Amino acid sequence: MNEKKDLTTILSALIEDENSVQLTAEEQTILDEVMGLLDGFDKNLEALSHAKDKGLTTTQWMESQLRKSVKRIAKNDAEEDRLISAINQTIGDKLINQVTEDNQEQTSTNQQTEEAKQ
Amino acid sequence: MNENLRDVTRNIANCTKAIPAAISVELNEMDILDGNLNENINSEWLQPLIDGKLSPQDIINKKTIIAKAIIKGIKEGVIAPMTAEDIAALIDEGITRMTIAKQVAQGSIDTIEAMDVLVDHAASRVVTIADTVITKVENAALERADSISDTLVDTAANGLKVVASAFPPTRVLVPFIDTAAQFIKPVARTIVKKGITMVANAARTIVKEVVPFIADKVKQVGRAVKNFFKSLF
Repeated sequence: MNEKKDLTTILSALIEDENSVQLTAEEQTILDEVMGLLDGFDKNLEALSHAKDKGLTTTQWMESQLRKSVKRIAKNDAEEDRLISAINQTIGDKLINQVTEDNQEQTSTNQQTEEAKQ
Repeated sequence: MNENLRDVTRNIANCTKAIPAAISVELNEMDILDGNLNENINSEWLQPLIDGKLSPQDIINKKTIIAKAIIKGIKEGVIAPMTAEDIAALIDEGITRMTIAKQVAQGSIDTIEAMDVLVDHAASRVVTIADTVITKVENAALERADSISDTLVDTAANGLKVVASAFPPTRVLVPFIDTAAQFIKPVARTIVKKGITMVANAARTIVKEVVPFIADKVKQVGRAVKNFFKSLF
């Protein structure tokens, strides 16, 4: 796969010399955003760990955090529910897409296997 | 607690479980980590990250280099365009998956604990990304001094679609892991591969648990998806 080989090449060059690749201002902004998100993931994971130590389940923690976030802009319960539902709908759609994609990959893999056998 | 909200969050938890499970199954089907290896590659570089033997700052440094490589790869057209959320989730899921695969293969954790770790990571990503979207909407509204605008919730609801980025697609995750695995020692690579298979087998069981939930959803995407599950069990 070319993608794999090329990403490997870029990563190898960066490992050798981090300054071998210069980012534009726009790319630097994206990098900062990525690193901010990764930091957020780690902090929330730690918060989740503490919550579980106190007896909460992952679902309960996720619910409380999402409610806390949406409450900042929701004017009432209906708006709060609407925003939570939007998140749920998005994840539900993603699930369907993921399963469909995996099914297509599976079909492709099966076809390749069949072709190889023939 | 609002019953509707309880249902919604339960669905989120189900999706959170099912997606990494589906990805695990897919990873198991592919000949991951079996590519031709380049002897010039520094196979020690990622090892300490997978082994959990790095200081927080060193972890950040390595993830920064990986993120930088992906951003450059996108610019040079060797990787499909991705948002910052996509890139961050890909790095988090990819590294986590390799780390837990190694731990499972070595017996440090069992497969159920491994799936819990994957679910917890996905949950933290959903919460982080959702909060980031809400903060952006909130800040934009404050700048315009219209925080009571009727369209605020509409904007946020639309913006929250980016939460889907919390679950990296298989077609992106598999090549990422395959690439990253070249930067760990060959022995560890073999162990990771074994662990991925073990987690994938456990994931099949979890997918089976959420099939009743998925069954309602798959009606929307036709017979092909049902065939996918039939092929699994």
